[in-house]
Amino acid sequence: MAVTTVPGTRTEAPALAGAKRVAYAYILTALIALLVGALLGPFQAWNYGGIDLYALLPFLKSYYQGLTLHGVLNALVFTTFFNAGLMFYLPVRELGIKPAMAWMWGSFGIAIAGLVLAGAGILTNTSTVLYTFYPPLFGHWSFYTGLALVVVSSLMVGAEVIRLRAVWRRQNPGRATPLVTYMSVVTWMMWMLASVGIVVSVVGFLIPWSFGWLDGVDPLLARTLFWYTGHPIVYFWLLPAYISWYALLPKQAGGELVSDPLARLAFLMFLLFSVPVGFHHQFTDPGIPAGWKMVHSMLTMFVGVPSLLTAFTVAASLEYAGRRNGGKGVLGWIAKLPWGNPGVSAQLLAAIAFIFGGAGGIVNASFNLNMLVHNTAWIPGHFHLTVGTAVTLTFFGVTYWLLPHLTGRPLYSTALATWANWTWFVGMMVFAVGMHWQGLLAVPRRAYISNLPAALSEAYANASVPMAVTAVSGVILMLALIFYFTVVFGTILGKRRLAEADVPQIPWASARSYKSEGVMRVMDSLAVWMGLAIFLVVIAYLPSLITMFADLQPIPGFKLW
Amino acid sequence: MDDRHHHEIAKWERRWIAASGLMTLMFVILIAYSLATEGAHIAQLAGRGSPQTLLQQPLFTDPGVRVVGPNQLQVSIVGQAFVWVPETIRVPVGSQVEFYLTARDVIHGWQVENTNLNVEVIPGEVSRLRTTFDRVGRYRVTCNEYCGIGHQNMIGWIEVVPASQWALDTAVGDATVATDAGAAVDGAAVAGARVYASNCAACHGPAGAGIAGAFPPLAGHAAELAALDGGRAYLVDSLLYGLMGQIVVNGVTYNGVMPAWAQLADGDIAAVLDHVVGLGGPAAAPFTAGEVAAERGKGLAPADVLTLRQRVVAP
Repeated sequence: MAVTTVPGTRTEAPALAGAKRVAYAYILTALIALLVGALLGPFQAWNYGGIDLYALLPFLKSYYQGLTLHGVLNALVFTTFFNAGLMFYLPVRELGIKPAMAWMWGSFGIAIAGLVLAGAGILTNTSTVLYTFYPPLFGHWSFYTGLALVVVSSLMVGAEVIRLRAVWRRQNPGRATPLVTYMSVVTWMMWMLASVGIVVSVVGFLIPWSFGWLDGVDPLLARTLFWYTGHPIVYFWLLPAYISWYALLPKQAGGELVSDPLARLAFLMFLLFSVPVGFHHQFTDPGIPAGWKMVHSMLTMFVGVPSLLTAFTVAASLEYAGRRNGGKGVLGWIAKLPWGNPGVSAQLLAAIAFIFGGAGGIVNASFNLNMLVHNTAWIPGHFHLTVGTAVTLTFFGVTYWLLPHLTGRPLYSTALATWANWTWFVGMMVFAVGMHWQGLLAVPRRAYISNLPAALSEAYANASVPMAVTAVSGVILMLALIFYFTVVFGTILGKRRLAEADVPQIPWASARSYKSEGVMRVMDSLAVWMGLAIFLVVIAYLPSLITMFADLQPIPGFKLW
Repeated sequence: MDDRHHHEIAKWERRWIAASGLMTLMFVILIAYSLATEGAHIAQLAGRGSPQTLLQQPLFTDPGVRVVGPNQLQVSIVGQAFVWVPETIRVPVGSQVEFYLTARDVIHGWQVENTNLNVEVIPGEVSRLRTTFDRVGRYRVTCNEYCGIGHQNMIGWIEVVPASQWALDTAVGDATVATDAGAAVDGAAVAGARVYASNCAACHGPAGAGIAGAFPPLAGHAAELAALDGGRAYLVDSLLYGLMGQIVVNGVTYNGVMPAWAQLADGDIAAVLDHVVGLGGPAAAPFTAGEVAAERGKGLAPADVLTLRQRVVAP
């Protein structure tokens, strides 16, 4: 029997106004972190074009300090804060339950304290260790402590969302969790399981070491714990974008979600397979036996499946919308999607970029192919398509309705927002072409190659064409940043206020569900699925971790910048 | 959406899921097959211990190329900030080469262009991998793991030459060293500037100004040290053995690590010291290769060099 579900309370309740404010605080901080971090991005692109413009940034001591700031602010701070805002606010509104506000403001306070501490470590050039902070590179305690606090704050938000779902279930016995809450809770559970690695590494080793209480840290163990978290963290970035694609974009495009159960299945697969895959970032680590790397390579392939499911369901939902809008023929529906709505075009372009990002990801996850591209410029090329475009551009699209929704102010300019989307998309695609190509020519990632000594000035002569391509992308992306942040600040600082009735509402899409109640109940038993996820992680990691803990080789710290 | 439409979608949905699963399975099989048939280039762990212990192994006390059998070579390499030791490796085309790598300080990444050779070089670990270079050429070796301020300068080379030429080079032995010595006589100043630019400038700056709080200045300071009693020997030792611990230069405190540069030839060390002392003004009496050779073999630790420094600069 076909059922179209339209989840619970969606009317604006005054009791939820506090949730709006805390969500706005998180989102706004995220956007400021994006602004500061991303402004450094073009300089890095120009570096990979052989053009050294760091003299224009006198507050930076080195390219590497700028790179640390860029990576931490964009990959760690922007994403974590935006997720905390979005994956808190949407479930709260879907469930219509008042959250624990003191707890939420507490989490925000901790997040800001963490941001200030980590920022101090970076800006004073005492922690130029990049966002991977592998020991024995020795950063300042404020850097490690700050990062730990940011993680703690996100876990507090996750705990609150999980609590709200439990409250809702007590109030609604026998009913399946509403879709967006379901997806958010699964994402938060995955992040809780995933963050164990970085918490053990930072709290157990790096912080005591940075205070001088430990003489050294085992670099292999630290890398392993980092990547235990480091791969699933990319799903923590990506899944909020998927939530928007599944649950909001179909409505914005004029259709509905064609399959609610398939969306839930995809998220369950992410819960199971996101974490036990970290060794695919360590294929070139001699200290991990090849057999275990092969196991992780295989599991990584499995985690591609839910993304393929997402590609189908989202594309089918969009096709349905396009045909409803009058689209004909095999591809005619694409043109009939509301490209004029920047909130839609941002997400469509994001999804297109993700096709290429996903394909490159399969290359990276292939143990054999990885050898050619590991730690080369290919890798930043890859993740600027995934997190840098699929996630970031989706978040752009979300802010076009979310900022007016939260502030009651109209979007500054639809035209400029459209320009921001297209320039960001084109800029990132050009960047990705240049960087992937350089990677195949073995140009290393994270290297100040625009400032080589005279004797080495011709070292990368064979990469001059892709380097020129990368340099061009820096210009396009700088324009995109100017367009986007003009829209952001024009909106939030605007004088005009929208009439109550004109304030955009959350674009909840209705969803089709064909599966039986029994299937929904099985999928709703999240504690069991979490247990299974933990079991898989134990199998994939415990033997290697026991070996590593039994043979610790502490190495003293080095400050080489 | 009507039911007919939805059934159509559901049918394609099942096909898509099946195709996704099949494709994934095929990738896994292909990866396993390719590694099982030609996976020798995947780095394996060949030793674990403190970096000091590992660096005292015969393999790494004198890193470089060794002939271990007919057409079989063993190559050992040490990664350190910011150089591969040795910087250039020469092997005959078609020979079986077994590489051993370790790191002196932080993590480095060793990658050879146009090959599948790519390995994290981690302090406390020795890694081993095997390959055969089938084509003659000069391959760029990069450091692909961020290791500090001079990371981008950490570039080495593998020269794959015809077997006949390789045999000839090996027979004449130290021909290259002799040429270097000749160059040093021709222009010690040129040699010193060259050694400085490729090894020292990344941290201490092209003019020796350093970076306050991170890398001490050399301009002026080296000349002061050279003028002090025992200062010249200290300067040589700091290059041969490195320096570790807290020092104060011009009122600024530094607490970093200077790596050892023992792999440089005596003549190069003398030339670069002349260059560094000369950065602060008129050069003092030139350093000699003999002066450097006299300090070799003392087996000092970086902390011993710190003690030496404290004795030299004591008020």
